[in-house]
Amino acid sequence: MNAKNFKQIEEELFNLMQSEISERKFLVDSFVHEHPSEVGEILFTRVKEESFVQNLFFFPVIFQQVLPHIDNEFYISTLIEIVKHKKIDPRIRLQTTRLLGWKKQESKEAIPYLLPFVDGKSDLNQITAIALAEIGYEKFDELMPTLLIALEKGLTYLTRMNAARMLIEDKTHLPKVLPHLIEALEKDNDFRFRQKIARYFGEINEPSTKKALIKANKSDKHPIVRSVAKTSLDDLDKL
Amino acid sequence: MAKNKKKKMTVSPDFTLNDDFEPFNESDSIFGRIKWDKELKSYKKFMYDKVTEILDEDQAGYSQIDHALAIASWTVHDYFRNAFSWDKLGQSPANIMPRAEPEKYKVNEKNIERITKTIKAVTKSFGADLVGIAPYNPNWVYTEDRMGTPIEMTEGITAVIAIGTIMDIDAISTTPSMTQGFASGMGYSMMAFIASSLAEFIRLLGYNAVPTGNDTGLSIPIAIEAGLGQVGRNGLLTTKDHGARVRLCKVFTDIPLQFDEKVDFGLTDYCRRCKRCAEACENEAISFDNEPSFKIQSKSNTKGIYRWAVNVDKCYDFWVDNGGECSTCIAVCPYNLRDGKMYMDPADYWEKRISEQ
Repeated sequence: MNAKNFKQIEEELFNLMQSEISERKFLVDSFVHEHPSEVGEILFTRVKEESFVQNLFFFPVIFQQVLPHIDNEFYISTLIEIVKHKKIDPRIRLQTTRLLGWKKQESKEAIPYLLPFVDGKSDLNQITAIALAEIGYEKFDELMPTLLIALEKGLTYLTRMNAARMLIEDKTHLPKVLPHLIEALEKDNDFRFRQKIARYFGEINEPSTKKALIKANKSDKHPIVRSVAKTSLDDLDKL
Repeated sequence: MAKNKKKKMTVSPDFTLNDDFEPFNESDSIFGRIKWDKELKSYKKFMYDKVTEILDEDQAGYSQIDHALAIASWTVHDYFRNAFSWDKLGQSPANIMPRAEPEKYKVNEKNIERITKTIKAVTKSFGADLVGIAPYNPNWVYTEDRMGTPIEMTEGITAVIAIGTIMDIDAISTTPSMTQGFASGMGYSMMAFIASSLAEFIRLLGYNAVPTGNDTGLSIPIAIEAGLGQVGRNGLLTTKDHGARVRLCKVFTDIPLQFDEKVDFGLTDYCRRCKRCAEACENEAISFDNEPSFKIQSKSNTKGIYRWAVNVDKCYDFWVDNGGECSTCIAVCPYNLRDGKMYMDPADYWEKRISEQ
């Protein structure tokens, strides 16, 4: 590819992103899909600039329509370049961290840049702990306190569900985690999360969960939680 | 159709099949297996078994009104059994006037483009939102139906008209409530209406037409080969403009038609990098694997196709506990959110609908 073409692609990409912000036409992703390698290289280069990652203007479009379609060669390296910056908007860091977590072990190189954001109670801290668990950070105990905060106080029910999923993945953590899950089944305000915990209890075969399931089956305010709790109790009885 | 392992493996619109691939037997579908597969957790458990204990007048989305809406929306699909007749419907008992029997309509090189566009226009006139035409591919026809009866496609079939109807945005976003079931049921009834009407239209031109809903063949690969979209991590046909909020049916026919091009809008790479549906799934039935594979998750998955296979058994287990279908993976998909909504409280759904009266 000659320099002129590269420049043309960059100009066209930014013009398209600009117009996408004023009127959503979903044209950017088609363009990126046609030039995945060139756009990948452009983005990889641009996100190294402090001023670029400080600019919130383009990022919604970048997340929705550019990053998903760039060449694989540039994908994780671009995400890592973003989280390398110490001063970026927490929303950009949060979404980038989430994307890195989704790639699991493939994002291993991002671990050093994520670790400084684990400790704390913020949404970002919680998402970072979930992402590091997904990636397979070996010192899981360091993540546990923040994951437990995410389980109890995660801003969205999805954050709480993801924390639960990570916490029960390794069954050796169950003795520490189960009391928190039982509490969440009793107290969480989202029925989708409560039904999922009730389902987990049917799968993990721990007698200590039976009392909580009986209570959920009898008195949870949502019929689905009562229904799933009943199924899980039946599952436990079969074991 | 790629069968060569050395070629780059693709999920869609081109399928990668391995040596295990064989056309699907519909009795292996979850709705077949609940009747015969004793190893299935939901063996002999039906979707509405728990409804009476689930119904709760204090819980928006799970009241008797919601359940009635969901069930009633299926009426045309469930009770108009002639909708999926393989034969010309013939004289209606409701109309004493005999039909005219004109000669076979001539289609040739000169008018094939026009008749193709006419068929698409007619399909949309009957209520379809999306129409595409694929060459007939026997790989996607079931070997047997749910009852174990062998399926033998009508001789001479050359094309399949794939039809999509977009499901109600608001109802889908109330997932997993019973209110949401209305969107599915309405989609199925629309399938019966559109496919039967289109098939009769084609028959009246003198050609064979086999209208089908979920029966007879796999709708998703057919729709993909007809250019309607690609298959996503959630195992559903995903369109660029409406995500997977689309119900599918198809009409097999021998009328000469032009075929549509398949579309690739980069969905496979998108799904490689997005796990929203897997995270949100009510019963973790969707794969978290980074890469697609030939792994199957359930006896109800067609073997030998490269993709993210969905654990259909777990999906259905939730439906039983929920007293009806679920559309969570449809609602959370970013492609649905292009014109749809992530979540709407069923109470707000009813307020909106009632306030419009």
